Amino acid sequence: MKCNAIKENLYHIGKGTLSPFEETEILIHLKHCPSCAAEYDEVNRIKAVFRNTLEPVPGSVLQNIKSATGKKQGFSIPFLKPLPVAAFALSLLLILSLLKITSAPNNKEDELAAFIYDSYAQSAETYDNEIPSNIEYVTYAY
Amino acid sequence: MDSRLDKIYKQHGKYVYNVALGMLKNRDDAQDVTQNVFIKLFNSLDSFRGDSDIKTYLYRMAINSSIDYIRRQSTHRDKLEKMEPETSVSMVDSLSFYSLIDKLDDDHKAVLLLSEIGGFKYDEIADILQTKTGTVKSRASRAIVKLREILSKEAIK
Repeated sequence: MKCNAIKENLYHIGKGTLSPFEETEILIHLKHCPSCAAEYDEVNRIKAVFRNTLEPVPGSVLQNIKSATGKKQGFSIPFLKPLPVAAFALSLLLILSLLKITSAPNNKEDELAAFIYDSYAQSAETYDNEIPSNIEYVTYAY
Repeated sequence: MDSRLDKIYKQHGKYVYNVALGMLKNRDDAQDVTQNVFIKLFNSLDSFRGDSDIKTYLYRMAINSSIDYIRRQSTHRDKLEKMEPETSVSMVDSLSFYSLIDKLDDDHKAVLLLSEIGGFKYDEIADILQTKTGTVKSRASRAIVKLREILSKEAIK
């Protein structure tokens, strides 16, 4: 490789695009060429500037991340999976509705409904009792 | 905080922040980008298969969010300049290097930051920026030549 080609590739050393042979060739060239070696030093100086300008992350960033992710975690209970929870809720609802059907009325609306129903049943019985016993049922033949 | 996210933050937080800082040359904006990137990562943490996927996602998000910020700010700055032509933003001393990098195109800047701060190889950068390795290599070459020119001009001043 000539100096121009070497200089073009100086920044790419160690970046995974040059073959081991190319890298070795460049490194050998640098040992014997002061101009390319100076260029290589310059490239390394720029790389070092990048590393030296690294700033620590302000603590507020982590705090904000923690508060944002913490809120979301608060709503979910990791050991409760959605499907078993839904099945449990459904069965609970079924049991409660069965209990409601079989249990005695316990509020005013239910009491009123029961009263009306009882009155109606009583009046129907009375009406049945009033039908004379000598009336025969007639069946029609079609 | 989730222990996995905590571990990722300890490993990459500083670098993601500095990549964003290099792109934006503004600490407040870089902080916003960093925390948004990690919050978004937390929301989709279960969908990642390996650490390399997470790393790619983190830096891709950092670069893309920073570019979005720059675009929004330039629109905002255009509006401000129309209203107040004398308004100018002075740089803080410690950000002087990033203000030099700022003279590079966003694409070139991203390659240099990912390479030097993120420590990525060209094929990894290509994956992050969703481009070809050859493109990354040529961008890196042009970026370093331009940066050397900028630095030598600054040295003369």
